[in-house]
Amino acid sequence: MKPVVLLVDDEKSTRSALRRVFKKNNFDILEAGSGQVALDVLESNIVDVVVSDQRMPYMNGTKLLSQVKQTYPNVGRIMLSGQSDYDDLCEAINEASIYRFLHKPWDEEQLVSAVKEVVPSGILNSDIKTSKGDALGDVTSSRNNKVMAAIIKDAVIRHQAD
Amino acid sequence: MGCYSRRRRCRGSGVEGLELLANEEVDIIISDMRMPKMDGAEFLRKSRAVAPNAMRILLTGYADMEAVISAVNDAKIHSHLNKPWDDKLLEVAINSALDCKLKEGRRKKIMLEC
Repeated sequence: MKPVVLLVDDEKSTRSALRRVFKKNNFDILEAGSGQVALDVLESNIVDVVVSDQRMPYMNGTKLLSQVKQTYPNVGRIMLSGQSDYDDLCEAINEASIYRFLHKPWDEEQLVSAVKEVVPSGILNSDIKTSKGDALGDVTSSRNNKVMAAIIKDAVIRHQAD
Repeated sequence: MGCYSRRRRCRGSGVEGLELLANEEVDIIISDMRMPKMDGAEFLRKSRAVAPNAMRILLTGYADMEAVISAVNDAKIHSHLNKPWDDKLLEVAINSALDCKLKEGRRKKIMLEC
């Protein structure tokens, strides 16, 4: 199973460039042009790592990754920033508990290796949305369980549709 | 830090900190950044080898963005606070680190049992 990376950036050209990098390195790729779209994507997909820009309109990278931390605590969080200042960085560490902070323009090798380093725990820990505050739930769910649940759900929907 | 004072250990340098970590189990490491010989980012990075399960908090007295980025990427710090620190923020950081460590411990235990 390929690791899944969600690329979040309001600039389409940046997302395209990132997509090429991760495609070449054998990742499954999801994209979002804003924080809100990223949360929608997370709601309905399995994601191992979110790589997010910091400066985006409406919801910046820190706010998005803080939300990811709260709702999907086992999903890896990486900030990829072109213009962050010191306060942005501190906020990203303390509020979003980011795993890595990388600069744009990125070094491809460094970026891919950072994401790969974050991925195993994402897969092992099961990046599953669990009920908030349910610590045991965080750890007992599994990625495979979610895949299985999705298959069962699809089967039930198809059965009901028939 | 009154309620945490039961098992508090203090050392004056990164080298002494690493020596302590080699001999004692520590839950949370709080380190200054600017220290002679070995700075906080290097100390915390090296602490990962001797105390992989400890949570790391960095204190800095000046805004050095690259140093803090290195602490995130290489030392895997949990939190970062500016000096002089706000006691309440430090308490929040410590509680959050302890909570994170507890959850991680439970996760590992369950993974081993599965």
